Amino acid sequence: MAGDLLMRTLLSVVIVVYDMPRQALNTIRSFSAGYQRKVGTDDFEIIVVENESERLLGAHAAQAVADNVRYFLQPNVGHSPVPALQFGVEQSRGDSIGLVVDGARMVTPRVLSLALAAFRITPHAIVSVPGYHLGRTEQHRNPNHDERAEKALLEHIDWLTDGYRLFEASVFFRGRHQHGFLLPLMESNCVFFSREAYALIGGVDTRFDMPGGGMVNLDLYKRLVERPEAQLFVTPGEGTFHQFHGGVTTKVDDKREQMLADFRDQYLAIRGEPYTMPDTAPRLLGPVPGWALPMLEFSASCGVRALLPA
Amino acid sequence: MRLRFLRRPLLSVVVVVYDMPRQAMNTIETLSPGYQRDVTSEDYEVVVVENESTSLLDPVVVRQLGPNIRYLLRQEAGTSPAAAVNEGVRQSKGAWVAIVVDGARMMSPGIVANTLRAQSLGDSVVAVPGYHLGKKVHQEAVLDGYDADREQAALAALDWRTDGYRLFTMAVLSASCRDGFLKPLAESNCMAVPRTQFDSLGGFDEGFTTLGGGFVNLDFYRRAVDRSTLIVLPSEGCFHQFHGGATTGAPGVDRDRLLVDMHKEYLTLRSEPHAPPQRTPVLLGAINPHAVPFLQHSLSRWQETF
Repeated sequence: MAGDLLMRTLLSVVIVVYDMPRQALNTIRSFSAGYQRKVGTDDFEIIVVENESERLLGAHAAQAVADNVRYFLQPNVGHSPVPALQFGVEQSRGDSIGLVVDGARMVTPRVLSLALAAFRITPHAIVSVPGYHLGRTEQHRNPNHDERAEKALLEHIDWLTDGYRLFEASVFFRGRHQHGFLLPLMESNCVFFSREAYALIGGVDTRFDMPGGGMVNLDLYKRLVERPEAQLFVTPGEGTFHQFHGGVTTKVDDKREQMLADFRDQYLAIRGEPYTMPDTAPRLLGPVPGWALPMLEFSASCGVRALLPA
Repeated sequence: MRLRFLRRPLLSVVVVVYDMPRQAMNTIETLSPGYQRDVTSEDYEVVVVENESTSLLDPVVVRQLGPNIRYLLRQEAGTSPAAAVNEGVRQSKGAWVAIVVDGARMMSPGIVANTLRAQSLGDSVVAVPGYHLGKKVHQEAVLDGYDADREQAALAALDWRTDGYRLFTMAVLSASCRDGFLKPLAESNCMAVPRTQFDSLGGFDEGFTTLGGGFVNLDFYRRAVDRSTLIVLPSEGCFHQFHGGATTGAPGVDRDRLLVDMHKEYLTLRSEPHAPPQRTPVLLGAINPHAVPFLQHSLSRWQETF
């Protein structure tokens, strides 16, 4: 793939980082050509946009990972990733864009080669990578999962040697994939789309200005996949893995439900209707390593219940 | 689908037929543009190659199924379909060729579109898992009195023309795919490769001369997969109709003995016993609800060995 000029499509991965230097470094490493399989540094670029905080990742650490990392430090406006996201897309040069709104999301080693493959199938591809949480249960339900436990877990699985062992140390993020990934999904925390599609939907909506961006990611995903020409692919053998960092909706917090209600209210105010899941069913794309089997099994069982005629 | 300005079809599907007009008509209809989804007749062609027998297709009726369907009648002295496959490929025009070595295999409606999608992924083998219509594989069902009349009646009641994915509801995985499609398949009865790859492999090996061509299809699949990416279409199927095939219920055939002879022939030609190619498949395609039970079966069989 690398060096094949006729087939080459430059891909930009935009990663938004805030107050999570350890996690962001892992995430950037997981997107690097040294870890990703069947891609070279000429095939893609990594745009890191860091919102200012007291715990900076910094340009030196980010750019030391790989030659194709570009780093930008931005003021933290309103505790929302949306301005940084918009800025990152503006800086990117790829024909297609991969968006990681939460820089704490590591990925498995074929995410980039499969995203590029999908764009070779159709320029209208939307590629969604299923989401997982590191730890024994989803992190917002798990008060015992903290940074120290997670660091030990990641060291134990030696993920840099075999990134698919991330599945071994994680659980499926059912909050966003209640019916598995054979049925329509609510969002993706690692989603790829063409620059043209992004422009046609008007890009990210900066009115989502609540902490963490509120429902900005769900809104963007919904508008992307509901375009009539969109062809949605999901990678059943790949994943995006949330590392613990005290994120807005991924920490244990007794105010979480009220906050989610506020997010829904803002969505209603902006879109004029309550949020509903898109009903675009995905196509599978990619191999399925053994570690990913349980999630595909869960998805298949949901598929039987939800789709077969009564 | 695209590139319609090019005269050359993107894919040629070569279907070999011998002494099975009723089943072959169903097969050809499932490959027609009226049945296949998300494609037009300009995207692909179907080349039907019939080896002469006393029960022939009607070429006029065959061609009426679509402007992209061609029919060739040829003499065949032996019992192998290999020469017919090679002749069909020579006569075809597509950049890729899909081989349906047994014309009794009906197709699900997304085979052509998904094979065209897979072409974008580079040199590869696109394999469609195999099924048998009915509740048992045909070599077993025949012992219970299962026959073509019973099967065709069941098909008529299924209304497969309206939704071809209903074929999954009256099928079982074939013996070569019995462990599902996540574990190595022994063969595919609808497999597509780039024409350049077909040629560089020397096509189907006409040295296989046992009844029905012996392991000629398994041999080509093995040789092709050994050098390529394997793409499996998990929600598509090719469905064997009962027709008294060499290893699928032919009267008067000692199947066990025939299989021994086939293994021996393979060993002689390849200097090693036959084994399925060991390659992790890339899955491609949306999962139709009717195919989900087979996905679950595939997952459970694979998990047992993981």
